[in-house]
Amino acid sequence: VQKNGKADGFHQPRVRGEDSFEEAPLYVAVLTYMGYGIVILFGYFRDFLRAVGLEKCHQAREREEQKDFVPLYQDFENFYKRNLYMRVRDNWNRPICSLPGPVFDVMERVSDDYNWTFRLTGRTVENVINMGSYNYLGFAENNVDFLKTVAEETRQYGVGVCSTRQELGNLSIHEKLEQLVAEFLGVESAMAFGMGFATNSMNIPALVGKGCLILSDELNHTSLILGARLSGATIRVFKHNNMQSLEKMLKEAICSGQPRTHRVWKKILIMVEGIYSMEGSLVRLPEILALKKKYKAYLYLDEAHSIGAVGPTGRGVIEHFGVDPKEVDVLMGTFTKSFGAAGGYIAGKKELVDYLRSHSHSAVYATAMSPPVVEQIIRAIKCIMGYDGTTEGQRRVRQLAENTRYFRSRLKEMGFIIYGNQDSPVVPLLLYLPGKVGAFSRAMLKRKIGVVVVGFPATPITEARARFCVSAAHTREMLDKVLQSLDELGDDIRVKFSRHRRSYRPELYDETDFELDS
Amino acid sequence: MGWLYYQYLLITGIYVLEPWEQSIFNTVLFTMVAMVIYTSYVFVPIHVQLALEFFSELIRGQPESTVALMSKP
Repeated sequence: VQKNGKADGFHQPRVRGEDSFEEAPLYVAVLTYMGYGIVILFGYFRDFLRAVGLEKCHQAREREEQKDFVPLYQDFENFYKRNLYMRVRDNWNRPICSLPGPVFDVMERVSDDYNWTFRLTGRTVENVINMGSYNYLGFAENNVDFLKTVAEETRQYGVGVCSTRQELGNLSIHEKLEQLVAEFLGVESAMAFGMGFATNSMNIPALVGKGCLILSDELNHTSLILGARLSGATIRVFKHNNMQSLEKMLKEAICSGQPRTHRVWKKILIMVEGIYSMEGSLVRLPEILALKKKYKAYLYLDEAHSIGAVGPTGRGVIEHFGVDPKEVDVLMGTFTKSFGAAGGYIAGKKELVDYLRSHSHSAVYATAMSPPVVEQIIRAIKCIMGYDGTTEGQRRVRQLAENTRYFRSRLKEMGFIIYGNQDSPVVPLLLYLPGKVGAFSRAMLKRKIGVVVVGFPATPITEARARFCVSAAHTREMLDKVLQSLDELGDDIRVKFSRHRRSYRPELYDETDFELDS
Repeated sequence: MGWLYYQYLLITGIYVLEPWEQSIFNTVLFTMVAMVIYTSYVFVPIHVQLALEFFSELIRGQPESTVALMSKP
């Protein structure tokens, strides 16, 4: 059996490239606020028309008998949804009618009443380049040869499990998966769950409780925040990737203890992510490990986007920094992104995983993972580790790294503001102004490229962005087409805000203008 | 011209509004700009002339008393 790329744990710790968070020129911030102000004024005007009765209200409203009760739809979130989100709603929830690979088909839909209702025209837009799916290693494929084992396992086990892991749902294929995940990561033991969000939100309450302290990064994902809140522990937030802020909080926590009684904290848990999905920045893992050892805290590392996507052999941010996986207490990750399946895992010491098997809500109450999905993860991990006898997995990891570097460097050259680390396959391109967000997404779809644009409330209100996810399945031609469209669109819509000097390369010509000796 | 109008729509955020709302905003903005231009056309030359006279008198006519200066229209 050919095994390639076994992580032996101790490389020389690599120097981490710096994250870039370039600030836009001041006039952009001013214009953003002005744009939001104008649209909010019109929002108030339309609300007035709806209240007076001059205009039909399409959204839910309270009944006549409830008019004197506490109002349900008057807070800012509902106002924002009614008056700002509805106007550009056609850029989200687009129905897709094919596999979400490097190219896909989108169903065409139009709206007759400005996005309150949609209807499908029946036509599909074919071969749209997919720059939004989390398909980092290209395992979202429907090639019959690759999926042979998945079909066999479906024939053997069926599709539904009809039980939880604790009752009658613990299939032998689940045991195989967990052993394989533990071997892949280089730890003692692992456990797999059916849903990535539920892995975070249901397992953190089992690990910490009242009397414990959670130090979580400013930009953590909602699942981590939900799990922390459900646990009942005290939560303190430190600035994004800022080690001075974290150290100050650790010192203060250890010196003063719990808030009123000043007793010692039972546990201090630091929660960080490998790659932050909205910024594309990498965690500062060596510094956090040093702090953790010095102040005797525990570390929870959520590698949802980084497992399979960074690292020389695809083992995540731990391998990228050359750190021993046994130093991180709880490794968590998801199978949704790089492995093309669904679900999440928690890995670490054997005592930890055995404890979670009986005490975690997700393990006890949630239905077990479906066998074809488990087999897809098994085949993806075997492909990356080389157990299937080919070097396809390693080729994909290298291809992803190359695509990421190429895409990021070309975008920087063109003059866009890009956030994040140079090695992360998540590339946010900042758009800032509310008018340009909708225009960008629609124009890209017209050029047959599908992108994801994000605005408030997932990002700060002044930093709306388009987020690209580079995949190993993208060929150089696809990336070139996307880059060329971005170049033209960037000049058309004027989103090239970067103030760094760009390198001017001369155009490459097909013919040489000198004779070659042949 | 069409490209400039498109840029104006994007920058002010009007691009997301419905056409009749865009017309309202354009009308109001155009009215305000027209009023500013009219006011400046009518009043700015007179104000500038008065200011120049005031400062030139100040420089040339130093011995003159301030009362005589203030009584000038």
